[in-house]
Amino acid sequence: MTSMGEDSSHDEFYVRYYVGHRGEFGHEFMEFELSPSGKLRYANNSNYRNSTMIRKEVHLSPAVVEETRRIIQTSDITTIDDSNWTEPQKGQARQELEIKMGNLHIAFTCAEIGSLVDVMNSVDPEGMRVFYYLTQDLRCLMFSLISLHFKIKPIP
Amino acid sequence: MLMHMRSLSNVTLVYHTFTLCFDLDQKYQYLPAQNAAALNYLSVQYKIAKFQKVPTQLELPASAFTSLTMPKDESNRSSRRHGHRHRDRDRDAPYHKEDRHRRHKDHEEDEFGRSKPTRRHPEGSSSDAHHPSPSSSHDTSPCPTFDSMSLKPALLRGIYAYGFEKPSAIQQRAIRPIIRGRDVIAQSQSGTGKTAVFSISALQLLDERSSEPQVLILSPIRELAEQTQRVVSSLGDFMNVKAIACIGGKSLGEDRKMLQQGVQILSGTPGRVYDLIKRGDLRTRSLKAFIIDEADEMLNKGFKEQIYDIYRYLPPQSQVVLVSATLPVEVLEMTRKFMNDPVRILVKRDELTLEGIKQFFVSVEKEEWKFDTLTDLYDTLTVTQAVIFCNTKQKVDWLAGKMRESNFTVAAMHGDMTQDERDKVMEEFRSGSSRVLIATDLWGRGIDVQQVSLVICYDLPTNRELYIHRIGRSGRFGRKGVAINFVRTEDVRTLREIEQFYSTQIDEMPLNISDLM
Repeated sequence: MTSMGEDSSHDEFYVRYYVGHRGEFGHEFMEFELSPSGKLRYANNSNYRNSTMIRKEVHLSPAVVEETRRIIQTSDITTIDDSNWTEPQKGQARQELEIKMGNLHIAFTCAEIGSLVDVMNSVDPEGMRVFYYLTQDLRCLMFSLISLHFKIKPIP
Repeated sequence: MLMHMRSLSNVTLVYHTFTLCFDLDQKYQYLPAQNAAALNYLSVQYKIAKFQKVPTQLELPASAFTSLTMPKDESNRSSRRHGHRHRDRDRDAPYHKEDRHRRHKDHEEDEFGRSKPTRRHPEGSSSDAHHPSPSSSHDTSPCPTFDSMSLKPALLRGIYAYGFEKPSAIQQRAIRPIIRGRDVIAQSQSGTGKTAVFSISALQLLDERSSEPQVLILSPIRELAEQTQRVVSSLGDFMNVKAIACIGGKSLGEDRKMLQQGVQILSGTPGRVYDLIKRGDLRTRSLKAFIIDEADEMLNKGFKEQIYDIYRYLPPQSQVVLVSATLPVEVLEMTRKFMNDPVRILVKRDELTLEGIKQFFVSVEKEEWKFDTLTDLYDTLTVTQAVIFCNTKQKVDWLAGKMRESNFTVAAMHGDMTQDERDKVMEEFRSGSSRVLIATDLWGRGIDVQQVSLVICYDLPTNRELYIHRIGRSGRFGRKGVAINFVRTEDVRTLREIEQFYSTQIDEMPLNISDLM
């Protein structure tokens, strides 16, 4: 893992996370993607009461990209083996996490995790826990970056 | 657009605390001027098409002409006749739809019935000559201070005496267009000063020399109408203004008496207000502004027809203002039917939750486990004040009873209680003598008790808007708050959908929540 950090500025670092389902309000999903160029793309779609897609894009500085990489590296997600994970059932909400880092390219797909109970009851609680916390951390970071950039402080 | 971070060493997982300097001021989520102009142009065409029934290039569905004329045309016609009969007496009659929309004559039309958006707004009369195409950006550019809003000195004094120092984002943007006479749709996060937006505007619009009713404010809940009236009266403390609340459950005679003595601003609930109009006690001829608080709720089934009944009595030149923290697109689309080229100040749904309100859930698996979870939390609840939401009146009664049986002190409130009982509960909770309140969604919207720092959804709300309103009872005007949702196994999915819809985070509950409040 450390070797990856060293030549980090040269590889094509890429992250994509998707969570969504199809149902009463159309294809509802949230997705973000961080490209090697540092461009963060984000989308949130729902047709709830005629809502429509929201898309936002922002460029991140190398420091923020590096922090994202650090979060992923320290999460140990690269050591997780998902061969036993169950695929999401039809009608269930699904999650996808795709990461390119150094010479590594991993992609996970699983059902949405409702609560830690789901993690514990899964086939691979250890791996699922790592996945669960990593995706939460990434979401937290990306939402914060997006709202920092686009949202007006309601109380200045 | 590149972001600069000074130091990464401070980065923890609490990203909300990043302090980066951006010039965010210009990016508020109203429609960009160009789009807004295009949209407004469209909506004008739409209206002309509707009311003059001339063919336009805009294709309307075959049913649009009938379905767009709001509720029932039959009752509408009969009450209009009824109104005419009394027009001679000192009583207002409903205006014809055509009257109400006579304002649209301001838009010139070409031979196809298309409108040319030249406008009549009082502030723009001179500049319009130079800028024939309207731009809303002029109206919604933020006013950084109350001083710069050109308000009456006595009103300004009232604002500062009330404790306001700097206007919130919505106050910076929405007050000015309302004062200028525009129709306005104003949305902003819960507890960010929307009531003050329309209260200040109402007071500014007021002609203090006249004792006729000039501003009408409607709210869906009695307690909310009273709260609004109190805000108006406080802000207008140094002005010569008479504001009253007219709500169901209170003496009608009292309302009539006060109206006879002269009232300028009236805050009320739809049933009572309509009653007063029909009886001729509330004269609508001098009404300048019609303000609908919690507008999405008021335009939902159940209220919509009542609102329209009142709307028909408004003078044609009066302005309409809609306000809410949640405005689903479905409701925004509906506003085309009764608003004239509104200034729209909106918030995207993924920017609607407040950083200051931390959201959690407790996975309780079974309904029976909720009660024990609540009693475990009780000591945390009483740190400041807490509101617990249940979905039905019966459940509120049941839970309150069960808590008291177990020797916990709680208050309870729902719509089946008498107004006297409701008033007593409100007074005790506002004064802080009761600290834990169990309530239905009667308490979900608008009520402002600043000490509330914890909201518990004992049951998940029945729609996504309500979730925003419920958790918004805490974290008022920049304060911190915590929301805790009790979810059974079958509810987890619903909660995750809410979380995703608003692009927010609802974490499984940690043990140290009292540190977060």
